[in-house]
Amino acid sequence: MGKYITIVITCLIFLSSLFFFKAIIPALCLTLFFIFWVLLIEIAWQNRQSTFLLILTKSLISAIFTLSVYSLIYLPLEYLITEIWLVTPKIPSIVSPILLIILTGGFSLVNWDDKLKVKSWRLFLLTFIIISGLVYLGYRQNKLAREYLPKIYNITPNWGIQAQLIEVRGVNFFPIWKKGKILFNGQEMIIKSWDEKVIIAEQPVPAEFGKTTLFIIRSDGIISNKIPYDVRDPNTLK
Amino acid sequence: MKNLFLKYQTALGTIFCLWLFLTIFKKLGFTFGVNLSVFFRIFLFLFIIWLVWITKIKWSEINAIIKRIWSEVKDKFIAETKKNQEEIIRFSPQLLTGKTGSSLSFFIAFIFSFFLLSWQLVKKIFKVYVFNRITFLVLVILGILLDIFVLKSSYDLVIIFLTVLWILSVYRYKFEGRISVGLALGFLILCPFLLIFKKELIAEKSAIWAYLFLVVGVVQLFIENFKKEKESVQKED
Repeated sequence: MGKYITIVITCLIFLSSLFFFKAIIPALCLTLFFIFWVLLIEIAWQNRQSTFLLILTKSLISAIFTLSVYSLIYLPLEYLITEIWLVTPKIPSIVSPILLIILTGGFSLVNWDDKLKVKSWRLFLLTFIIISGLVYLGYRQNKLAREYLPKIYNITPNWGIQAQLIEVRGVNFFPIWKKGKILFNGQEMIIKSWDEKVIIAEQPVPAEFGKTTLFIIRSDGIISNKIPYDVRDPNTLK
Repeated sequence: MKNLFLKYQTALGTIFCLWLFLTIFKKLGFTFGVNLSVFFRIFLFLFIIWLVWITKIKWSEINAIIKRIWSEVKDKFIAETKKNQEEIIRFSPQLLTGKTGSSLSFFIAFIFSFFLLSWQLVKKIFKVYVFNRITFLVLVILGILLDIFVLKSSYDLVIIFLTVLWILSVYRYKFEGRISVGLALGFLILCPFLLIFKKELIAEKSAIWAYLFLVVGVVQLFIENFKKEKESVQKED
């Protein structure tokens, strides 16, 4: 970037950040941050033909691309499995590093030098990174919002007759001294044991039989997801 | 085979870059649901494979170096032991004569040479590899970065020790004052961003280092100006 263009952009950044933040210190910091990066990029540009920088650039692009693909494919899938479909509270911690390493291994074999020479590839890469960044931000926001909600992963058995013990497994139920309620068909179950992750409850005499849903109301009033539950007539079991 | 090794090496470098990215992002509060400890352990495992592989490829060179070093050390050790034995016998000729005396003097010389050569080796390793120019600077920079980003609380002794090391490296490398001031500005720029991301402790440490670098830089600039003034006065005279 030319000297004068840098000065003009710096001034514009300072003014716009001053307008945006309405405070001089953050505006100055942002301007200094911009100048620092411009300097760094200029130094890198001057030494762009050095072998070290070429290898470093290739590794960095591969790493960024890997992270983008990971954000675009794995994170939404993980969100669906752990938060929407509630298959499991957590995917084993070995899965994501292994996946990342496999992706990195694959993308490091790509000849990025040739790819980056083509304008359409550069545009594709930029778009891809921006989209994956947006997906990541969305994932993060939703994940944080749902992180502390009560979630039921399974109940055993998923049917019951009066006086039968039901085990409810999930997360964020709160400890024993903040006990909530388990409801089905508008009726409340009798709590036998309450824990952060496991609740054991006894089914009372039901008002009506048939398929319904079971859910938890935590002590702070927040409702969990609803799980299908079958209230059976003891006579049909004979 | 060599082509495959090069590809493996590139992949390993990329994995390290990715680990670095993930660590920085985590420090800034953006987690990607990756257990970094597991990731690093896998990286270490792959790194050990790389080490074994490179040793296998360059085994002839490594073997030649080991043989050369071994023969040099052996010759030196034998010569040193003989010299020491002669010295010991010269020190007490009446007591250390005969077969027993000769064996005893050899044993003492052997032990003495062993410790002497070990000491010389340690000294040489420290001089060549630890206190050489680049390692020294890398140690200082790594120390400061570790203090800022890794240590959970602030230790005065560590800060003083690292500041002294930085002053020594400034003296040794003949760094100009503006480098210290530049580093101070760098840490100062970092502070508000760390505060935005709610990293108060790191921001506090960054501010401490900004202040220390500023102090060192100002003192350096003062000395530089003083020297320049002195030189100009001498020229005028």
